[in-house]
Amino acid sequence: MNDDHVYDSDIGCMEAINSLYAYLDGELGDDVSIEQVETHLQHCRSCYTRAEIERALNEHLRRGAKRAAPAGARDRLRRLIDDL
Amino acid sequence: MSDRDDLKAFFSRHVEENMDALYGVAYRLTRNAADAEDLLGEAVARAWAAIGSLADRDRFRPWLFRILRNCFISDYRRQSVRPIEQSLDDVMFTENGEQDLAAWLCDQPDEFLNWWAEPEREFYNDALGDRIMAAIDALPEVFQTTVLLVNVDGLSYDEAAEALGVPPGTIRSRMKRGRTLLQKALWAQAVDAGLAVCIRTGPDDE
Ligand SMILES: [Zn+2]
Repeated sequence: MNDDHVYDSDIGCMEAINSLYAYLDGELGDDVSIEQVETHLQHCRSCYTRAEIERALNEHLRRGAKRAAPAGARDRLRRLIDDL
Repeated sequence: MSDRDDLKAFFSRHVEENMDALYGVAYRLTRNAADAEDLLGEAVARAWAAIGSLADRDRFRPWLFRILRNCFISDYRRQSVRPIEQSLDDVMFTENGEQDLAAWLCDQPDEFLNWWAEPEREFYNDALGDRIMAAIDALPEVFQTTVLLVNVDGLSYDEAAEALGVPPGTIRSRMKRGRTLLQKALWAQAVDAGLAVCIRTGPDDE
């Protein structure tokens, strides 16, 4: 992977990676724009691939780490709220 | 309907809507079902008693997460085998910390990325999924909680900041740190799986 700026106004790999998680989480701040990140991803295979891996990991986390409250716990909590 | 009934209905509905996420957080903190259930009950009772402190009803979720977490810290932490490593932020937050992390990721060779990106590299494959969850479990608590609140429970950075009582910028940097630590786990996984090229050309793993 390199950090060459391949086109004018390219933010480069370092900046792209620095902004990647916020970008994927929809939380980019004012310093780097969505367009800047996406343009870099379109031009840089390494960062594009990393973004895909991180996206897959996000999806895995969303599905895999969810833990449903057991029925007993739900019932107990509902009763507790009723009695408040 | 009285104001109290109205408030109670609101409270009940929102606890219900967030029950799985709340239970998930309680379980991650306590690490067992019985304590998670107790913690959740205690937090909900406390939340109702403090409902007057909920300034903005749209912020119910981070508000309740915060009460849950504070409840854990005050009541369960002492009995827990698992310390909350609040000071880790300071320890790991060096002047160049952010740049160092990005540099570490930048230095990973394309072979590593391509290996992970192969279509048959099934993230839902059980063994691999278990390794990833084990890596999550192994994260220092502040990073783990932050990553899970955002990526599993779907809190915005603002909401996570409110839930954890830290500035939004801290969530931003914890996400980078937490996710980079996960990448290190993926890296170790790739190396274990025989991706020897990474060992020769990859960044130093501490
Ligand atoms: Zn790049």
